[in-house]
Amino acid sequence: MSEHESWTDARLLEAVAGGDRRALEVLYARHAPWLVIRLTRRCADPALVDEAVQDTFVAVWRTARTWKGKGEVAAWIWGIGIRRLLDQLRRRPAVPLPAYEQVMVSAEEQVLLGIEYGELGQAMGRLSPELRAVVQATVLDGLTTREAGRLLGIPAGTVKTRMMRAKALLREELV
Amino acid sequence: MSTWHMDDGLAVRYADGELNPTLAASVEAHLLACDRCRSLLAPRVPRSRLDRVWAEVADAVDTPTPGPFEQLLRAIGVHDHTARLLGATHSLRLPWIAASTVALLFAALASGETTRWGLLSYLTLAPILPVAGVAVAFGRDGDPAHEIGLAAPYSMFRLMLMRAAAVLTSSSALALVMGLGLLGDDWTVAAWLLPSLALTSLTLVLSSRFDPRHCGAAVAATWLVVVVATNLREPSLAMFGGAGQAGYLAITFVSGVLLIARRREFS
Repeated sequence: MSEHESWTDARLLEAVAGGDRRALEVLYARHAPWLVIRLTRRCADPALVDEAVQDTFVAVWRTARTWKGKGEVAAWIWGIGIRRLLDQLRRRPAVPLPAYEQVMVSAEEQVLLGIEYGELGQAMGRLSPELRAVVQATVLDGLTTREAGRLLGIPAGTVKTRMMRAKALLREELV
Repeated sequence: MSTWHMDDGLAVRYADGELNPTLAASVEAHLLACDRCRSLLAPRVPRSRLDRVWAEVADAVDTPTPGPFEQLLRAIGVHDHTARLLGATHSLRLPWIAASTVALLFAALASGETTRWGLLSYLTLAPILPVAGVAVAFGRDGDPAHEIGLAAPYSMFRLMLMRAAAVLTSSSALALVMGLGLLGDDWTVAAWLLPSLALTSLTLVLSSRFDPRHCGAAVAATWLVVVVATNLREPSLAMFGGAGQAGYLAITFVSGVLLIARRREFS
């Protein structure tokens, strides 16, 4: 055991930027498990998820110095991770995408916690799985229209129209 | 920071994908900001899977990134191991090449000012550069991979020739470009080519007996002495005339034959 274990994520990331390999190992131990689980909810093929996680931490090693030092390290890692998964999916387009069925609503934790049993939660529940998937990819995962299209296997234009339809339906439900 | 946290049951259901979509969304948003809840998920991924992925990450991180010269060699189709062997050579590194460029540049500029002394200095300097480059390209002190090379099942003679050829090519290309660019396209701008071949091959032959650095220094010093001696009165290009060039060709040829005859002494 080394002193690294007690460091904050931000400090570890600074050390990684300075070429500290042990710091990368500790970051990996902290962040790989949830990343594996969350990516598995986007893509059911464990081999692709493993590749994406591997690419993510290699990218963390190489680009740690580009981290601005603001916000959560976990959010930064997630941003890399979901895009590496997209790269993997693009490289192997033959892999059929599992249904993107979990609904995600908003990036704000408090809002999310409030909506579960509230009106928005119910309204989201009434959306079709296709519309919910689009809301999830763009709003919660923070993907662009084009990236969301790649993840869901549909054209970017379809993502836009589905997002508009989802917004209209939610507005009807909530007003 | 909120006071809401996952408990073990929730973590298990989330990891198994059993949460309803809205609750899963809440969990994921919370996870980004909460170290404690993230650590609840750690036991949900098999240790062996994490270790396997980490081994791959460590591999990728520990592999040294090849330098620009090595990448260039690979791009033009040189084998990876050959590119690595050549890339380890001091005189093929950027600082060395930059230093050679500056030296040649000054000599070339000098020849623009005064007519014959300047050209003479350029013609004198151009053959010395590959000699110096070859002298530090192998041997105990010059080669950072010397000890590894001794133990490797790879012919030292072949390695030496390969490096010498690469050094000769790069420094000749440099001198040629500089000469054509700054001195015009008179035949004299290429008159150093045979001398540099002769001096380099001479250095290689001597290296079979002595330290390559000493050989390089001795050959370069001899070259300088001869050049100075033939130019004591007035600048003359006698050493670069027809007879001289034939002599350099002969030296190169003889050295080549000796080199092949003595190739075992390099191992």
